[in-house]
Amino acid sequence: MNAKLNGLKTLTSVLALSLTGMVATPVATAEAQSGLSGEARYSWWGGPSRNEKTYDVIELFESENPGVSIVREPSDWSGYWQKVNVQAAGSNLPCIVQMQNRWLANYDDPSILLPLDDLVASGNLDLTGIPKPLIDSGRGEDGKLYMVPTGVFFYVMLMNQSLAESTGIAPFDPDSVTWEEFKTWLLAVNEKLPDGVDAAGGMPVSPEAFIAYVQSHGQKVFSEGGVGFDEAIVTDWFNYWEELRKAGAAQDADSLVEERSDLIEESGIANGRLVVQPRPANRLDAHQAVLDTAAPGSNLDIALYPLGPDGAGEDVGINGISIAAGCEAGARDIAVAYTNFFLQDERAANIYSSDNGVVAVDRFQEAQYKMPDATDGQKEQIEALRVVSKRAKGVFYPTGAYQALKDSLQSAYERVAFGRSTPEEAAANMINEINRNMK
Amino acid sequence: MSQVRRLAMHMGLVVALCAMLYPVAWMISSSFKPEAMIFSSPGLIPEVVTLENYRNGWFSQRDATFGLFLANSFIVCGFAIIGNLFGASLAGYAFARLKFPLKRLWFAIMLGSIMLPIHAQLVPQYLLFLKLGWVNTYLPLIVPKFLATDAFFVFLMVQFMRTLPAELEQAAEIDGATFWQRYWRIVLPLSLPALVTTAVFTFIFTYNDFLSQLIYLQELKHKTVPLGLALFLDAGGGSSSFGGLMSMSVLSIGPVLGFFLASQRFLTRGIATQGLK
Repeated sequence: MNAKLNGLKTLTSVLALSLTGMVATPVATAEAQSGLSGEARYSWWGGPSRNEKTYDVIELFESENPGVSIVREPSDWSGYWQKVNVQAAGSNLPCIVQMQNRWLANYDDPSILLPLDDLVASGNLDLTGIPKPLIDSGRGEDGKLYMVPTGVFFYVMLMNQSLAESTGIAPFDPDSVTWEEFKTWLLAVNEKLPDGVDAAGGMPVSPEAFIAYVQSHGQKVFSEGGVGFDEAIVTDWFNYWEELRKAGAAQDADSLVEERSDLIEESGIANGRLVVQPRPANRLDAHQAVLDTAAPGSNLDIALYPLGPDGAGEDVGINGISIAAGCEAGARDIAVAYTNFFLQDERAANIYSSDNGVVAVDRFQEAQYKMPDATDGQKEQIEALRVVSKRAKGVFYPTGAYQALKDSLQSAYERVAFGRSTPEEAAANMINEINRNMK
Repeated sequence: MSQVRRLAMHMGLVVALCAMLYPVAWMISSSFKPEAMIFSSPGLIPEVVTLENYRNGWFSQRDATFGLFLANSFIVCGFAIIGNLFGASLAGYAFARLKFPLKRLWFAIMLGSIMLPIHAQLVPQYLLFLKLGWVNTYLPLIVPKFLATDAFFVFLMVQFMRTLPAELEQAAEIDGATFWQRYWRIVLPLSLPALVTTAVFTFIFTYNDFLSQLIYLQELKHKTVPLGLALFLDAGGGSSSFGGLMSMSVLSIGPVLGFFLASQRFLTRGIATQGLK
């Protein structure tokens, strides 16, 4: 795991290089492989919009490969992982499996997923234009490549600029604001907000915001067999948000519990009830669309997490494609061809248009940024990635670690907010709980 | 005084009824609102009425309409009902009337299986059905019902059949009726209330079942109503279609409501008959 962690340290610098065009780009896109026939199963997660884009990519691939059929197996996010868990246990995973690096450790075994190193080395799997650190984030604990990255996602603070400006409080400098300055700003903004609107929401229970805080204070998120941070930093985090909550600048405990869902339509930021909320950068457009109806004329923007004594602390995540170990030879060829097509065909990249994270292939990032019909949200997330890629600190998630952190952080802070635990007690319980669940 | 108490009780019941029906009313109301107004105008009365959600929801998947998901659900529910009626009544008759070795032990094991959480059975069952080549078919959802694996319904049948007068069967036995004839001609017709209860609850449980159907039905063309509804959501932070979800949810509760209303008469009669005995 140490090698893996070391590899992740270089993630941001190479990401930055790729975004400035310093990684070699191929002259031509990968051509659809000929001579393929048969079918391969393909499962992914997403809602109606992503399903439509995925169907379009599949149909384009099938039209260029007569005799090839991709069996569609779409699922919603939560059902997807339940299904994949059982399928993995039965060695019945679809040949093409959508994967995320936060969950990869659950499946990084040659009996579950096919190690892809040989396919890459032989040139069958074309990873041209994907920065090496991104590729390395698809490696398992054994160092083998189990996932090829297709999209880079990262969490930011979505900010309702219209609400913020209406308070007359000077905006903070998004590139250099510290956690303490951010707190001061929230308290000042809160004084001027109308009733029913909070300055911040969802932050204390957001794993991504917490990770940014922990890493910006020089601590690790996970280490061998457990968490890498101490009780003091968790206590600080809870105290930080308790001060804001008690001042009315952050959501009260009831609102926090009511808004547990990640659904955009239910989120406070998309309904004009919050100035700041942590959300994935690639969902800016979707949040703005809901806000356009809820509070016409309001404008959402991206703000990166504040800095700590150790600089920035945010993590970037990778969505990608894995190939099942149980995939038979013919179907495996189709899976490889489809993966190449998804990654390297410009039409496929444009159809998908960074729906599940900024496209991983560098030349498509710039192309999508310059596309005439690129939305403000698409442009902003690419711009934000340019900054994040220079400062982010990659996190390796051991088996079950992300879910354990998410669940324990949520329940621990809720106990604090409802007055059932002191921040110190909740911090100690949270760390014990995560360590127990990771074993 | 008693009239005042009765009035107060009825008012309390009406308030409770309204509270329970409010989410359903909100769902129906939301299904007729433009999608963008579902959360921005969350009142019960839509400011703008549209049928767009029904059209979009019905055709939300490129390769399958929501009608296919409804039809698939009916297929699974239909066979599950037949299977449970067949399996649970036979097993129930055996436990209630027949004598065989270790009957109490088998009965205890059968009851014990009710307490086994589905998550503990999920992977072993999946492996079994995978070996049989039944994954991505409806067979894992149907065949076990014919083998009386729903212990709840077996127990229900046992308890009901134990209340039937044994003299009826003894008379038939004297007339030369075999086990099968006694089961088919005497016990089964008299067990109609328990059979209807089994059918109704099998329909509701199967129609609402998400996890088993999620695991066994892989392809879009096999998906059922719960899986179809889940496709409108992206809880991973992506875009969801609440208009489609609300409209198709309204359509989806129709069969459950209809089935329950149609069989309610039998359920009530069954309970009344039992009360007279």
